[in-house]
Amino acid sequence: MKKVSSIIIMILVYFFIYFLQINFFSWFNINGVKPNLFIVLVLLVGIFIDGKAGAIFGFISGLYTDFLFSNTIGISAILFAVVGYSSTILENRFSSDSKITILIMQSIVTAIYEFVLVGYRALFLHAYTDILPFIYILAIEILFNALVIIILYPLIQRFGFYLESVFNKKEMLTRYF
Amino acid sequence: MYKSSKGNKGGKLGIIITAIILIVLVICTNLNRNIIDIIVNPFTKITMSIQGGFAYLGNKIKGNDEYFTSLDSMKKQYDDLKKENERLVSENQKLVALQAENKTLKEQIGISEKYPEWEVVPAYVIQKDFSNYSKIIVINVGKKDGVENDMTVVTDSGLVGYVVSAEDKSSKVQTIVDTASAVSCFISNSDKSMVTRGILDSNKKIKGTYIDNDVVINEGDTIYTSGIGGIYPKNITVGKVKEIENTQNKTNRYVYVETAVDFDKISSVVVIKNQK
Repeated sequence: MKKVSSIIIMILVYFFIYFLQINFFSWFNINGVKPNLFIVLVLLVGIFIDGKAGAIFGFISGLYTDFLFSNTIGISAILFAVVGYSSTILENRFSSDSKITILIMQSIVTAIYEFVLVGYRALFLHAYTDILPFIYILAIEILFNALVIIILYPLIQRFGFYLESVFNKKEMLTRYF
Repeated sequence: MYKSSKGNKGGKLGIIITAIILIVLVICTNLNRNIIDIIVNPFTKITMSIQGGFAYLGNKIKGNDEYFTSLDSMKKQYDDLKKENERLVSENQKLVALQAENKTLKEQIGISEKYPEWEVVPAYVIQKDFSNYSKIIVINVGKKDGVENDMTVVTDSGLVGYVVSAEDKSSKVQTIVDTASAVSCFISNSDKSMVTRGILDSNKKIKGTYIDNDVVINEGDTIYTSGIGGIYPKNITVGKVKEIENTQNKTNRYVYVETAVDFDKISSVVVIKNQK
């Protein structure tokens, strides 16, 4: 029962982020650049439950995002799934005892996600892409994501503890706090 | 970090500082006003207040205090005007709502009048893309309204884009400012075509390339769709030439075109179904 309710919470958080991205960040942005909180959510699910759960959640939420926006169904689904699963790999490599860990992981996955997405658009949709504006936008996006994580960290911490306890993760990730 | 009371205080302070930094960044990068003005204004106010005091004293000494003796009557006038202003503000708020509705309806009528040869479907923009790298919008009409893939979307100002995916009650529109978008255009003073493409870092500009060597381009020239390519009909306004970038090799020269449509404020559009 607790698992069902926590899945419902995750879905609600997804929709909350969705409306935040569409409405709030359309004007609350840094020089026109918005954060990508979907990446953060999927990454956190992967960290606090496990890579598989992160991948499944990432795939479903990515697919839904594709249905709503993308002109290529499946691209966000695959990339979000990779983001969710990559949390397992990154979790083994980073073990510093602070939220810096989450910030570094966020920076890496955001960079990889956007790089692959823009690369895909350039190769398959023949999108016109200048490197410098791309790096500029990506840097602001990573910074924006990081600032949001720092601000919401107490909330993320509680959400993470809750997910860990519900899904009986063997290793409690106290090192993140 | 958040467990000890000292750490907790530090954490909260960190969050507050981060939130302030974020808000300041957002404000600084979005304000149209010059930031220097914001810094300068308080100083100007202080200086001008003191200067006002000196001016008052100076006038008293000179016996030139006519202005100040009429202060009481001015104060009464001010109170009356303030009341009148409050009443007008309240009326204005009601008018603004009506004006917005009226504007949308006018735009839609305007488009129908501007392009009488087309059968059009009016629509509202219900969503804009959350991503920083693609600029797709979602409109509230779909297959049930007769909208199909590849139909052109315009406003009364000019070209918006085309339908990339039509669902039952909504459609995704790839705008001309999207980097995956390419529009074949011609310049107002020439019959030679060029191709405009969206650029990553702007919602207001697109880049015009493949410009013929013998074409003379001037800033302010209007760009129209050429009709080549099969998606966009001919003669829809795309925008105006804003900057011309001449390169050593003339074949590589390009222009930046300011789009006729303001994609930050776009709210209502029409889909061109077909020619009547």
